[in-house]
Amino acid sequence: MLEALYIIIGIIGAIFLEGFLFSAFGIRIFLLLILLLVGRLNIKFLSLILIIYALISDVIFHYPLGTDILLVGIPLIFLFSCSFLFNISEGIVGYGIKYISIAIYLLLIPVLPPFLLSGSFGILTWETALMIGIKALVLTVVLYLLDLLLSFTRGKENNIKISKKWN
Amino acid sequence: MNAQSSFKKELAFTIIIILFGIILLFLDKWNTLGFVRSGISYSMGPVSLVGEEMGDKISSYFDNFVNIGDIVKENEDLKVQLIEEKIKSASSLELLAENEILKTQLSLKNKEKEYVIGNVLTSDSTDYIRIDEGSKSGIAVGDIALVGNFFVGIVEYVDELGSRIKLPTSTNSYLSVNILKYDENRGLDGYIKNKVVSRGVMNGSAEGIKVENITMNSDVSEGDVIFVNDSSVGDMLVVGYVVGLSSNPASISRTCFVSTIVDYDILSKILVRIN
Repeated sequence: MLEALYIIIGIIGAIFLEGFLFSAFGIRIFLLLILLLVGRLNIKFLSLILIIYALISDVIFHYPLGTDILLVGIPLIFLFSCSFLFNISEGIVGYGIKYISIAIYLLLIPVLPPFLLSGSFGILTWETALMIGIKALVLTVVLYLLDLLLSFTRGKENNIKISKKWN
Repeated sequence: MNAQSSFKKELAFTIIIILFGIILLFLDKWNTLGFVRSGISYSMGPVSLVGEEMGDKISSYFDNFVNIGDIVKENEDLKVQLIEEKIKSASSLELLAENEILKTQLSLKNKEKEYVIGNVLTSDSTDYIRIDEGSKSGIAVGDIALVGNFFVGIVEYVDELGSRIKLPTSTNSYLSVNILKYDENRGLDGYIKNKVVSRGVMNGSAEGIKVENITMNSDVSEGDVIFVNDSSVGDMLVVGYVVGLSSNPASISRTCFVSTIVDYDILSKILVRIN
């Protein structure tokens, strides 16, 4: 029950934050949030959150329902496929692959929704590609910092058990 | 190995989710998910909207910050443009004033006389005004300054490029004047053709322009028109109206003050009649 409340509040907060960041800097953080939760949350919960969030995003950005699932799903498939060859959880290689995943996600945003809406792909210029590269780098750095921050927080498994020995 | 098996599971879930997404796309294409769209739009739309509005404000702030060089340049250009416009406007006003004074002069009967148009220079004195035309333009001491039919003063000092004109407000100014009854129906001619109700001497004083020696039993009243009628001026030129007429029966003459038609302080251009 409490988990459901967390999910609802988290989704509302994330929707607000994404609206803010998209208007201010043109950055979408959906994939970043999913990457943060991968490995930290049960895959069933994560799938549920992904679907709900994607549906909300589709409505807010006026995309056909299911678009955001594809936008996030394609980079995630790339990421998880790479896990067979590299360790994607940590290290430069791991964050490099995450960088490429985020770049694919940001690259798909101007391309895929127009295709699903009108049947023709969106326009992608060198300038846009450069901006995507920069944004992906920023998001990867943010992801790294958040990972670092979350690694310091105490999980259930890290609880220190204090016991007192009575004489 | 454990980590890899875990990502296998996630990969499998992702593929399932993508398939679900494709199904959603088809369902939405057939308009069967309208209720989902409406529900989400009503509940989550405002949340996103608030975020977007805040983001827009930040975005415009950053845009300004990024384009500050352009904004500064634009501001400088606008300043220059504004100054140019002001100069143009001032020139237009100058031409307008000149045009106005020339039109007034042309409407008068004494067109055959020669005039020099001069700009009034700033002066703190109430006794005289200075203009930017002098002997080079043909002005000489004793010439009459006027605007249309209105008497302004007498040139008392001239150099090559400027002149000083003594105003009726000066305490050193003594001029003979005629006081005429004002006839509304006869217009300007009314002043001339009506009989002179009194004569007097006009001179400046601390209280204003005063007319003295008005005949005691004359029919002068408030609002009558005062004309300069002095040998040093020549023409009958208007000065103003009678105000503050004295009514002391013990005096042998009456005095009044002159309410000038034109304020000497706001004159920008005048004509000097060259003798």
